[in-house]
Parts: sequence; C-alpha cells; structure tokens
Amino acid sequence: MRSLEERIRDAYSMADGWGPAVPPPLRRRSVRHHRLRFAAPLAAAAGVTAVVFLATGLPHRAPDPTVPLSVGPAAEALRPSEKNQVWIYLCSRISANPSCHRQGATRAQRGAIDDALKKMPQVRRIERVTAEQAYAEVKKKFAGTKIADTIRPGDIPDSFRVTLRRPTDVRAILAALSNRPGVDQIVTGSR
Amino acid sequence: MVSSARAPADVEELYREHAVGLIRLAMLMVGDGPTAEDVVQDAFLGLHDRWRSLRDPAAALTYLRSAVLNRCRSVLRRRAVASRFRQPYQPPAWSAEDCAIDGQERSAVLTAIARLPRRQREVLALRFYCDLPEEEIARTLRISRGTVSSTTSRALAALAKLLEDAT
Repeated sequence: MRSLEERIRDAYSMADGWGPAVPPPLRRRSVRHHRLRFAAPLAAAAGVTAVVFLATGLPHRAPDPTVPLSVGPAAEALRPSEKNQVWIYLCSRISANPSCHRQGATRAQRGAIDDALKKMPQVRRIERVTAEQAYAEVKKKFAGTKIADTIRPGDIPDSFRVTLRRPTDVRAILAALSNRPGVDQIVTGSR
Repeated sequence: MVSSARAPADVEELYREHAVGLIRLAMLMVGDGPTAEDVVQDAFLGLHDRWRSLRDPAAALTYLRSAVLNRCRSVLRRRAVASRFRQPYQPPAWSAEDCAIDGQERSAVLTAIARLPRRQREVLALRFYCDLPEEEIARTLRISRGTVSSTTSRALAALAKLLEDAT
C-alpha cells in the first residue's frame, strides 16, 4: 500500500494535464475608467464620421484571398493521438500568436528548435512535417467534410512531431519549448 | 515551480514562466479551467498595477501565489452563496477526467481533498503540488510555520479518514 503522501502527489499530478499547455495571452487593462469619460465622446464622433464615410461610399475591395477563413477547426482536429506525443507547430505568416509577429519561423529558429529537441534525453523520435504534408493529411482525414473543402495549403504550419519516452516527459518539453522564438503552438495528446 | 531566489525582470517574464502552473493550482481550488484562467489573469493584473511599489521583486511569485489563492477563495465564497439559491456548481475537473483504473483512484483522492476545509486544501496543494517548503507556504498564506505543519498533519489525518470511509 502506498503512503498517503504518495497518493496525494499522484492525484495532483493529474493537474499537469489540465488547463492550457501554453499560457493564454495576457490581457491588459488598456484604458482606465476616468480616461474613458473623454474617450467616449471622441469615439462616438469618430464612429459618426466613419458611418458618413461609408455611406458616401468607399472603393469596394474584394476580400483578401491570402487570409484563410478557417485555421481553427482543422488545426484543432489534427492533434496527436498518443499521450507521449507532442506536436510543435512553428510560426507562419498567419499565426495568431503575437510572439510570431506574423512572420514564419526562420531557418535559424527551426535549427535551434531541432537542436534543442535532439539534445533532450526524453525525446525518442522527431519527425518533421511540412505544411504541405499536413495539408494532405487533413484532406485525407476529413475527406468529404467541410474542413476538406475549406482548407488550403499553408493553413496548418510546419511542425515537429515529437515522440517521448514517457508521457510524463511532456512537461519537460513544454518547459523547454514554449515561448521559444519560432514556436507558435504546442499541442499535446494528453487530453 | 521553485521559490525564485532570482528576481524576475518584469511581469511578462513571470507570466510566461508561471501562468500555466498557477492556472493548474487555481484549477485544483476552483475545479474548472475558465474560472482558473480568469483568477490568474486577475492576479497578474493586480501585480502589474503594484509592480513599481513592490519592495522585493524576488517575492513576486509568493505574492502571485497568495493573490491566486485569495481570488480562488472569493470565487468559492460567491459560489457558496449562489448555490444556496440554485443548483451547486457541478462538474469539477477531477470528476470527469480519465476513468482508467488509476484515474479512479486519483479522482477519489481529489474528491476527498475537495471536501476538506479551505485552508487545509491550500496547504496540501502548495505542499504536494507546488512542492514548496514549509517556510514558503507560511509566507504565501501569511500564517506561521507552526500553523502550516499543524494544518498539514490535520489535513492528512482528515483525508485518511475520508478515504477510509469511502472504501
């Protein structure tokens, strides 16, 4: 029979899989309330001006074709199935993560991530998956659904798929790689 | 999550390094992710406002932990009031999770912990989840070291009894 303390620690270790794997963006208090008193009329005036402009007609522009309509569902649906796998998505031009600065991961950043992974003893296997491969995979996996129709090459960025020796090593990978330049999202299979 | 001897440069650095862990600590208290995230965001906003007047930036993490726990208390208090009038807040994270064999044992332990008094739960989480030394727990909860150790032993005894009754 294990000691009570061990049982508690073990039970708490469940929490390691809870919550987001990377911190959600830090919200900021942008405007203080007393400043809003002056901001509100200004905003109203600006709003009216904008409406007038719109009513008088702006040149119509076709929607920008380079902006994908749906990144979410496909990327969400494409996550590792095993508990000891971690997929590291790299920054791309369309990443929502502010630390990507709307630029793709550079060659140097990729190299640094790759090196860091190779140095970690917990890592058993590293697989590079390009955006094209991920695109083909989604096309195949969701064939006949709406996702397959709407997804375009590049909607899912390049990634590293890492297989770990033990599922508990996920924590170490997250610690080593979240917030590393060039990393957009880390998706784990632990939930 | 070790108590940091090194002073963090700014709130963002603290956030990057500790937000996820603090969210999990909050989840152990309040039971659900969205509330836990709100609590942690709130605690960081509070720290952000007071950053300049902080006497010792190295103690910021202690401050954050206690801010998170304080806000969790407020949430639980509000829920307790609300539940007098309607259905109590239902699914905590530990009840739904894995139904595997060891998952059951774990959720039994967590469910039992959830029934302990507030301070005992806080001490247990800081001690066995955050792995903090007694001194740091005392600073976080602003209680004496003696109170920490007596609360821990009382919590362990109560927990052992709850688990025994359950089986």
